[in-house]
Amino acid sequence: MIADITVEHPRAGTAVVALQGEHDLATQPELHDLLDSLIRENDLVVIDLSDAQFIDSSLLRNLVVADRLARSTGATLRLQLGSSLIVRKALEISSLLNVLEWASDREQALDLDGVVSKPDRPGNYLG
Amino acid sequence: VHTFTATIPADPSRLAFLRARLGRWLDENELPNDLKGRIVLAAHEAAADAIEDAAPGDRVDVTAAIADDMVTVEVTQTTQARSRRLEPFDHERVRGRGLILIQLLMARVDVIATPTEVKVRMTQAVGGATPARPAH
Repeated sequence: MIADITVEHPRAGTAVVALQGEHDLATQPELHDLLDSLIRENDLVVIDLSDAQFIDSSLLRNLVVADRLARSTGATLRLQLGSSLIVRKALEISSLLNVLEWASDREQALDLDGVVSKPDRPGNYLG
Repeated sequence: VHTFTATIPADPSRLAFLRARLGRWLDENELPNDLKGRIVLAAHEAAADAIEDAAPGDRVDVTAAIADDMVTVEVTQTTQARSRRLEPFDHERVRGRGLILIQLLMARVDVIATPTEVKVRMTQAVGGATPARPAH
């Protein structure tokens, strides 16, 4: 499965980064630079993992770094999750679902006033 | 087939091949999907750690076996460079950061290090069996 990254702008100030396929350390430098610029240029950045088949600790670390940048710039970083068991397991087991905002579908992910998970504790082993 | 072996050069672009091969072997042994996902991720993390630490010419060997309802996976980094000494795991550096995730994914994890070889041995029960010793 080839890793693919696409970016959409459903409205001004919002970017959706969709990750398809398998994402490991081979794709992280590209994703890091992409997230860095999107967070600086947008109010909301959604990372859609619903079509991701595999993610590893290098991607989890990248998410932590991106979230830290978003907090420092006043932007919001939010994950959109799908049904892949191993993707969800990797996020759960690393405690990232307690740290990052996440939503279960695109509508919820894009809703600035919507009910998404509210992370209550910062920091985790990947920090 | 109750044993799996694969050898890859220390090149991150070979990790996808390793995951696919190991996943197929676990499928052939009829492991449930969630367990397969855990084992593939754990083996990937061990191999990725090795590759991030590796020098040109280093090699990563992966073996897996199922016996007595236990899956054991070994990921071994071997260096050919005589002048080089493989560093022990250090969470402040790149080396070993995946190990924390591995310990959360697998029931038992042992790291066996010599100057020319670092082996990560991971064990997980297939059914209701438990490892001989509890995890850390």
